[in-house]
Amino acid sequence: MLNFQPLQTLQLKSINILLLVFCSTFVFAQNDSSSTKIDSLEKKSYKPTGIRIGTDALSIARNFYSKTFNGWEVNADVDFNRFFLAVDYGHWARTYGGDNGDYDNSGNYFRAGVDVNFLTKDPEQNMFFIGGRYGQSTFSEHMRIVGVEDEIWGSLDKELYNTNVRGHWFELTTGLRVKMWKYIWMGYTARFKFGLSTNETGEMVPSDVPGYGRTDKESTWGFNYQIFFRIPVRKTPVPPATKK
Amino acid sequence: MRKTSWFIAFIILAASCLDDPDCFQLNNNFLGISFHVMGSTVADTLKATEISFSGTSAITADTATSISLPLNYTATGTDIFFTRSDGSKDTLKLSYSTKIQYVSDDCGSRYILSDLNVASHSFDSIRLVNTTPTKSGGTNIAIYRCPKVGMVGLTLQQLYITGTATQSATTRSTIFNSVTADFSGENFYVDQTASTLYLPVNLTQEFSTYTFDFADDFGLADSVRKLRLTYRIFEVERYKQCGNQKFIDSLKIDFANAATTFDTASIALDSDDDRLEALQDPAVVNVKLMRCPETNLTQVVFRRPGTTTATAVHIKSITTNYSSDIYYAGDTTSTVKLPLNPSASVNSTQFIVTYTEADRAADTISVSYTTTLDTLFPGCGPQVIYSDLVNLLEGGDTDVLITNDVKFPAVTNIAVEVN
Repeated sequence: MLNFQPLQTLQLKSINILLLVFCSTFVFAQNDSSSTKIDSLEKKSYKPTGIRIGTDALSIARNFYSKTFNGWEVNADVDFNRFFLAVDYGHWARTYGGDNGDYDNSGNYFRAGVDVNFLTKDPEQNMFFIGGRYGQSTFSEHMRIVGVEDEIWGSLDKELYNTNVRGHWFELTTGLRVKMWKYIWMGYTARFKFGLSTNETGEMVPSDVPGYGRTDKESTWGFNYQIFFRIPVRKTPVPPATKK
Repeated sequence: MRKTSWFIAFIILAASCLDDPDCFQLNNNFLGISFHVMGSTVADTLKATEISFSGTSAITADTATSISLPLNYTATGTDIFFTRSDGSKDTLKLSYSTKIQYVSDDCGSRYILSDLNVASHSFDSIRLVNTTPTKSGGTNIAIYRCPKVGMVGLTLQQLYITGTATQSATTRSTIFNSVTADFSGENFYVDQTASTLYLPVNLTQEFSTYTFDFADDFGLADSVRKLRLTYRIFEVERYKQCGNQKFIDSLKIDFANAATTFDTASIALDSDDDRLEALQDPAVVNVKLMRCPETNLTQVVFRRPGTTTATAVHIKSITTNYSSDIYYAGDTTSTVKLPLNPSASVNSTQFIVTYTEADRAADTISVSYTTTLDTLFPGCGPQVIYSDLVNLLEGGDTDVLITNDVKFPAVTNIAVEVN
């Protein structure tokens, strides 16, 4: 598979994101060191304490600053102690056009998976998580090649369609969820996407899969910045203070 | 915490912008072909005067052991037509699947070829190595041809003495007037320089004779040498696709009755030290033709008094006390190679050097030495080995620099001081 992105650039981006993640953990580490000790005799409860529903603010913003993107995404998660069942659903469409042709696609996607919270002692219930997702997309795409000529083989002009193509992939996720005010939460999710498979049958190879991104790479990174509204289900047990 | 979150949000926004891909070599539409001969590990050379393709009027030509040819990525197959330098033609018909993928506004789209298949061909044999065409390099198809044995390889070597008992042989580039295959009268290597030759053998009789006419001193005095090879010709079906073919083995060099007049010759050895008595395709070096070392050459250098730097002199003539030959007549040089008396029973030689300048007196070089007969190279027989050079005119203008061995190639034994 052709790797369009220079290896050094991809490595630098990956290192930058990982550094950001590690910097964030140090901020939480200070809070964790001053948090209270949980009574070792308290029983673990796996009953959900709340449901968070939100949207990806980056997707919404991209509709305004990107001429080639149109889409939205809604996210939801529910906690089972430190484990969170997360579901995403979205729609995106891309339109590209150059002097020698154009490309467009449109489709819906969903992701489902589990996140594991590593800030179980935070009284604000801020969250740093690592998780996984399974993603699936259904989309259609169209491409035109116009006015292109090869010096040996002649005209390359062509129009191609892919209809109702299905793609699926896997993700490793990490991110933050931070309580901003009462029921409003914000956070980011970094996604390492891999294992893409599509079922096209025609002459056209999918170029962009909604929810995944460019298909010319064996793996790719994605980022979301989400705003959530948390609906409490039951009172969240507060860890007791440490006896001095 | 909240400020950190906003900071990270902006960083993510910036990082979320995708880099544009490079637009270099997007398509994998090149077919790599390597050429081989059945039964040989040596790569075969395609000498194609024309290579053409279906779907285009473009043609190319190449002489190589492997080539990379473009496939038509606007179709699902390409026919390739080869025309060789000997006029023979071959066809290769290929099929493959072609898919298109949009890359970017700048790059446009790329073509992805896969599932390469050989639909038909006219070569002796083909092996599909890799079904995915490449962007450049790599091999998809190996083409094999039936061996056609009929060429013998010969290499010319100079034997050397580098010490009292140290011998070596090195390949020597030699100038030819011509090499004639006596059975056909055909001339090869006319006015050419070569160190390795490939000559056809007589396929109608189990011997071949060649006449080598040298333009340099490889042939020594008479410049012509003859070589007679004998061998066995037999027919066998070694490869099914090739049917019955003639092969040649049991190669021998015939020295009887002066049929071979090189100083010495031998059958070459392979990497396992086995004699290469069978002719191969592609041809390999089967025979080594060797020139025995001249063991009596002493090198004389001319230099200014009190210096070690050589200086050129204008020589009128150099003569010896044992023959009427004249050496270096009319030459301007700083070093000369002079032959000591070749007789093993004589232990001294004298050279007279005269100069073109009328006011420059002649110089006499007189040396004595020890001679022993030794067989350093079996093919060369006993040769006179010279050692322990002594200047018989000590105190004069000559000085013996190295008193021991006279070697080949010659080393500087004597220095003559000239004003």
